[in-house]
Amino acid sequence: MRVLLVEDETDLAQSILDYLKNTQKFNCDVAYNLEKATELCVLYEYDCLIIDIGLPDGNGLDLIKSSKANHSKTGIIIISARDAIEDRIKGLNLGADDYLVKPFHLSELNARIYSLVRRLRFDGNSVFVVNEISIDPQSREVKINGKAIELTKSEYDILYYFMSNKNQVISKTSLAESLVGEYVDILNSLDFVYLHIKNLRKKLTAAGCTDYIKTVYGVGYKFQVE
Amino acid sequence: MKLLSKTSLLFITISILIFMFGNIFIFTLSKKMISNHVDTELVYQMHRVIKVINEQKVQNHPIWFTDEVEIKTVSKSINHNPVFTDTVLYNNIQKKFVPHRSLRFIYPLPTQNLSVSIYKSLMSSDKLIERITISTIIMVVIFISMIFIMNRFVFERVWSDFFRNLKKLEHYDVKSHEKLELDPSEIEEFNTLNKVHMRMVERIQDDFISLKELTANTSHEIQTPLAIIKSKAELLLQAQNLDENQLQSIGVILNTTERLSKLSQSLLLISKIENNQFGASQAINIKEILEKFINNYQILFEGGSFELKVELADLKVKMNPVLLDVLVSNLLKNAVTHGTEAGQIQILVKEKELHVGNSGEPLKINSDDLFKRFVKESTNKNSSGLGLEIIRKIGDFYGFNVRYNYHNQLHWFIVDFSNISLNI
Repeated sequence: MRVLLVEDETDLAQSILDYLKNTQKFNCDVAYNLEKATELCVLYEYDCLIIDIGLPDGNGLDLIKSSKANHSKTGIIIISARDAIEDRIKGLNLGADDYLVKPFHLSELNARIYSLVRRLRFDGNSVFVVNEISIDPQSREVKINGKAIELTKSEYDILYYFMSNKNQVISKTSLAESLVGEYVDILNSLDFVYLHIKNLRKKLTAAGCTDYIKTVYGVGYKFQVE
Repeated sequence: MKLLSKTSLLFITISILIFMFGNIFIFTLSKKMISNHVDTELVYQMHRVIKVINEQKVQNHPIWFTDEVEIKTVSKSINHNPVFTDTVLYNNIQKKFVPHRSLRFIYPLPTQNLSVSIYKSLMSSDKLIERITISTIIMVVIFISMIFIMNRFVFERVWSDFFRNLKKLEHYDVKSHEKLELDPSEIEEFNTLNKVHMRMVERIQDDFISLKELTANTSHEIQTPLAIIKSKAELLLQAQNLDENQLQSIGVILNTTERLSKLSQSLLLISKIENNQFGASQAINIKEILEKFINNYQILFEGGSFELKVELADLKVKMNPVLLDVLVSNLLKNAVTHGTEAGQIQILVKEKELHVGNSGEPLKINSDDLFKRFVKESTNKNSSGLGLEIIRKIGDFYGFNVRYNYHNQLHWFIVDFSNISLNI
């Protein structure tokens, strides 16, 4: 699995690389400008591109165009401070798979890459397994030790988010945002996250699953599998 | 007071004053002249009388020349220079008292003196003065009204450019992107005034634009550094050997950065609305948008922290879809953020209006200030103080009305879409 990160902010690029290395065993390259990125795209065939649109020497949208022309199976995620809807539509029309607005949560980016890569690699047919938990993203079926359990949509989303960010501390905010969507900044109502996690925990342990969900006081949660 | 009324009033007052004094002057002058004339005639009469007395050698008998000459014999001791007096005599023909001017003089005789009084009726001269005065007054009235009418006419001619440009200025909105165009005038002063106005408006507009750009640019540029801070904090969270305090500090950094980023995004959004940077409007059914958001927020209501009451009806409006999303989400967000725990949230669509209500204590601040930037009722640090401003800006942009009221312990925000609603 080979990922190229195109981001002109070196500090941000470093954070993303570090986070991805922590959670996923990717072969990750980084380019700080369009020229380098184009060169790397010619040299290697990437499974996934993470592209910042506003680059010092050009528009990242051009890279999407050229890479889609050459390797149509490459997954593309746009990250940009430009939250203009036109850019988003333009990017998605050019063949980008996803769009994240800066500043985003690393855990959110990670979860998006995870979904995208799984979809591309296994055509979405694979079952996502962590120890005794297995999730079928296609049918949204969750099994513990081979036995199916019934989860609500929110609980399923939380579990999926946890599993793609396993062993990472996840802030309540990022979890809430991934659940409710981009317009939400109801930080004082984060209790709803707690409520759903409590229910999820109950259902998982009732089915004989180890309680992997740890509370990190004042911050959020951690899905600890090690 | 209008310019025309003010000038007319001043003009009339001043002319009346001037003509009044003028009339008094003419009146006294003509009176003086006539009385001089009368006096001269009297003196002439006096010489004639003296001549006649001399010729007739009258010594003892008074002689009556006419009605107007009265001769009396007086003792030798009475003697004086000729004197003029005003007096009133009874006129037998007209049967009334008539003003007269008289000249009395002493004619010396050897044994006694003659006192001669000559009278001259002033009736005709008074009539003359009266006529003169009346005709001057009539002339003055005609003259003033002529000038007044002329003044109005000239005023309208001369000031028309000024008033046209004044109207343009009155209707000009500095926030609009149009340039201020004032009509040129033949009058130099008005042209100078136009130039000054246009230059001033241009400067104000420049300042306004640069202020907006500053907000937009700052908000935009701030996002990348915030993204870096946020990502570093998130990475720090993943370190293995952190104690609880350190974790919590990082959590606070993360949340604060989040708030800052949301804040600048909201400011950016406001400046985008102001700059008309959103695309074309479409026909959208508000009901569908509301259903989408209620569904999105379902997770908030599932836990039972709010009692949700929804009454939807079809309401089609012509609006930019992104702005409608922003409007609806901000209204709901406001209700969720400020709604009391276990309270009610109501979302109603009725008669081209969207009503969003949440339970809560009555406002402590003035409800007019509610829509202002950074005015917050609560000390809730998660409220940006921009949500309602965004709602109002969207309302201003489309020209619909957003109002607030407090009813049955619920805070209501009501958006009246009637001016952009479409028939279903």
